[in-house]
Amino acid sequence: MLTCREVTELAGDHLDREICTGAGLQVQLHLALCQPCRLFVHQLAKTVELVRQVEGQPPDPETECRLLKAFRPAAECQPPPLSEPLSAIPDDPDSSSSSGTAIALC
Amino acid sequence: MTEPDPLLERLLAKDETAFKALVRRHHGMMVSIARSFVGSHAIAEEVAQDAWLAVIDGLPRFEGRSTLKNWIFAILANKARTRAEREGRIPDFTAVDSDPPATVDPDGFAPDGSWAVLPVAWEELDPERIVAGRQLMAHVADLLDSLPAAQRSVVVLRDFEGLEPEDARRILGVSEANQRVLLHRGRSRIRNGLMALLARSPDQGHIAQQRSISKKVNSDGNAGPRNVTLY
Repeated sequence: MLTCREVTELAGDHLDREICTGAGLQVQLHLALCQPCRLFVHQLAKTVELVRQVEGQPPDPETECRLLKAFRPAAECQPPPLSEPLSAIPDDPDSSSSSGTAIALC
Repeated sequence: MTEPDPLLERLLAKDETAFKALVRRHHGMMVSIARSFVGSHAIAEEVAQDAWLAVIDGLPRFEGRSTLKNWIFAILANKARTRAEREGRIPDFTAVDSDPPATVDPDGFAPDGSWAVLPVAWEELDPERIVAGRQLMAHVADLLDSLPAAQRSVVVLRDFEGLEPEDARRILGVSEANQRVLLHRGRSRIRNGLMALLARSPDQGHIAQQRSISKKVNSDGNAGPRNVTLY
């Protein structure tokens, strides 16, 4: 029968149901009998749930604005060239007047 | 894929609200994954932006043979890989041997593999809860961000983005076995970080109630734990 330590190593596969039948049954049997391991599996499941709820980090407003401009139909706005990194654009004399202007255009 | 994707249809209709929401949701994680390939955060940011432009450019030709999310992250990984090659870097998603192998601190187990330091229950772990001066979710985000690059990329694709194992594996170019190990170690590190954090929290007793288990019921039938402490 599996030890608690072995169960902790298999706990992720157990959660993801990516465990072969034999090992899966052994884990289930162990968990039925072992409260600390059940707690561990619960903590791991909670960790996954929390990661799922992490708030994605949005781009900075200037980048978001430029991406939105690129998204707009070509007739309305000229997207930046694909070959040019967007982060280099603020250094361009033509666009250095004010980032606020760029944001306002969004 | 036969069912039309409502988000794809909105994007093809040039719905800016949909596009903005998509960018805001995924951009940070795209940078994070690109960072696993390239040498700096600034370059990773460029790669992510470049990937978005390629997404915009390619949307009308997207055939829906994969999910939109898979397609976006595949583009990102290709851009990042190309950039890494240009930098002379070889992204390594296999270096798991250098990471601490144990899911739980080895001191947490007795020599026979039974628990020496019992896990504690996490009751009502509210994401909004303030722990050490910040919302719990801010800590989770930091813990995720602090993972080794390969672990972080796998956890992001699997748990944050919700990609299927095979899709995440293909996008990152890792073997199935490596992905499983990286995912489990990444999750375990975050779990261990939360354990440490909650142990320091003054009101941990509300959510992390220590369990007293007088008799260990286990296959090995050995003696109970040496002590009951957090971490």
